[in-house]
Amino acid sequence: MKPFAISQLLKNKQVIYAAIKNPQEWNRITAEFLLMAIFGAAVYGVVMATYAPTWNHVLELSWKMIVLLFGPIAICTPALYVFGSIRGIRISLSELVYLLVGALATTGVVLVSFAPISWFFTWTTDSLDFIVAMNNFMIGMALVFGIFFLGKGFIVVQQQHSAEKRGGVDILFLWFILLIIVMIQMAGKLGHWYPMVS
Amino acid sequence: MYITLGLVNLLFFTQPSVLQAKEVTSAQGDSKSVLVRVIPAQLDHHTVYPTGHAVLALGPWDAARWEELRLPESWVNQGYYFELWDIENSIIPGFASKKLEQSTIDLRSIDATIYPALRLVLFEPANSLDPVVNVPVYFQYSQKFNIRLAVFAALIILATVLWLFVAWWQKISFLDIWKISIAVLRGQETPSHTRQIILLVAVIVGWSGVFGAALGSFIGVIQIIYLLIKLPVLLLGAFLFSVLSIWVLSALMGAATSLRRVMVQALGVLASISLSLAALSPLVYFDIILPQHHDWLLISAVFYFGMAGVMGALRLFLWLSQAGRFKALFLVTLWVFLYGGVLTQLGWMLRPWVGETDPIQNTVPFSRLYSGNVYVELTHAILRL
Repeated sequence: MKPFAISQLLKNKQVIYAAIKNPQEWNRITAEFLLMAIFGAAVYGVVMATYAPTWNHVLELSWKMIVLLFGPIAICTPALYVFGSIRGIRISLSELVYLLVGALATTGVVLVSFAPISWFFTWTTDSLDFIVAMNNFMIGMALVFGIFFLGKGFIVVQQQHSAEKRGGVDILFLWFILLIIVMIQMAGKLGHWYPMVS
Repeated sequence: MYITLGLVNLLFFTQPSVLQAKEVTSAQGDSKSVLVRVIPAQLDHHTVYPTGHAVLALGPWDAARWEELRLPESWVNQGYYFELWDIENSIIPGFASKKLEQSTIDLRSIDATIYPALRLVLFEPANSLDPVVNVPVYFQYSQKFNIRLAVFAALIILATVLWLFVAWWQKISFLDIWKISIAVLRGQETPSHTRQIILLVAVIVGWSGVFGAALGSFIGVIQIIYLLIKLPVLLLGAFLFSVLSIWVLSALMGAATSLRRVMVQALGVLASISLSLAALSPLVYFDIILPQHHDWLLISAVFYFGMAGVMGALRLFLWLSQAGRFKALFLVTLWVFLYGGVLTQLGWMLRPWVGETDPIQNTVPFSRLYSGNVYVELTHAILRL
């Protein structure tokens, strides 16, 4: 039985990167990564909802977190492909999607790992400002680790296509700024995240 | 008349005036009210209007919270000022010389475990009408069974029974605990067996208990017992909340293998911290014997804890430096940030660590029920400077 892709993500990322050139593995790995990303976002949404726990609020934040994670990435993917191409990154659209799903899974895994700490502070803190700042920070940190995965994947793809080892990865910095802007707008569009607690 | 007023002054400002308070149980669930009356007195040749002390009579399993102070409508917007004083007639922080602009005053920011007795003192400026004093003043509070403490106690008992069972099953002796303490001091790698995890937990509980006994001796036996429970809970509780994120982030940085390996490493670091704390306990005894007062002892305790934390971070850095010094430094910073962040908040919730005997209850509480968030409180304290 083949090891889970998430297990490989934590123990030996090289296996994940090596599978870029093995499309037969993509379906299995991509499906696991998508499930992990959805699960991670939903779990963190549940934890966020414990500030004002009702069933409606829990379900609401679960799907909002999934949309917040997937939506901006999907919106910004064309920009990443075009900016990367201009910057000199030779990557196909299918390879880019594979790496983006891996980045989402990495973000999901980190969000799950932060869930106990976030729950502890949500349980022991009344200050809404602190809760908002903490959650924003943790989601931001999780995204950063996702971007690290993406960057390393770009380097591996570059090494396969050309002798230049690190060319163009710096474009991810610009793209990350764009992603954050879209995420902030998306978060506002999704409506209230925290009910007003009297 | 002046002798009488002088005696009243002496009575009101040196003794708790609990005889002027009467408890009235309202019909609103856990809410109760204490009725107090105003008796004018002289303070520095001025007439002031203090009430009696409203006192919470709390049992060890009670959780109480001040809610609000209800004042007569006739006092509002008359130019009066008010203060809230504690049992020793010191001003409660945040309630000094406040203008009386509404008939209800929110008391929820006052921690009932620190201030179980309150009194209102009303001041009238010159050229204003004397306040009507034949009116009741109500201190409203809520009181209920401390479920959080009960759940906490149940978890502690369950964890202790579970650990004792596993220790018996694994045939763990004091000599085994001693041997692994020496191994931790020498920085020897321990295998990732269940037995090693049990032994490391025993090292943490035992040696942190030595520090707890030293610090608790400032108050007495009850605080020693409390710290023997709270210190291991602090170290191991923060570990339980943060170990998952430490493992995942270390793995993503390429430094960790299995969760069990990370757990053994982290417990080894905590064991180093516990051994360091035990080594610093003679300094705590020395501080108590000097004698030092509460605030200095608290600062010393935080300092010693910080030193023990540095020793733990150093042990971690030495273990991780095989993967490269820069990566080791980054990972140590990550661990300190995650574990330290949770530890600080949990430590704030589990205070008092040094403690002061409450003159009303004649004991020290196990913890402050409504502690809030340590980072928010620190920010407010800095902004108040």
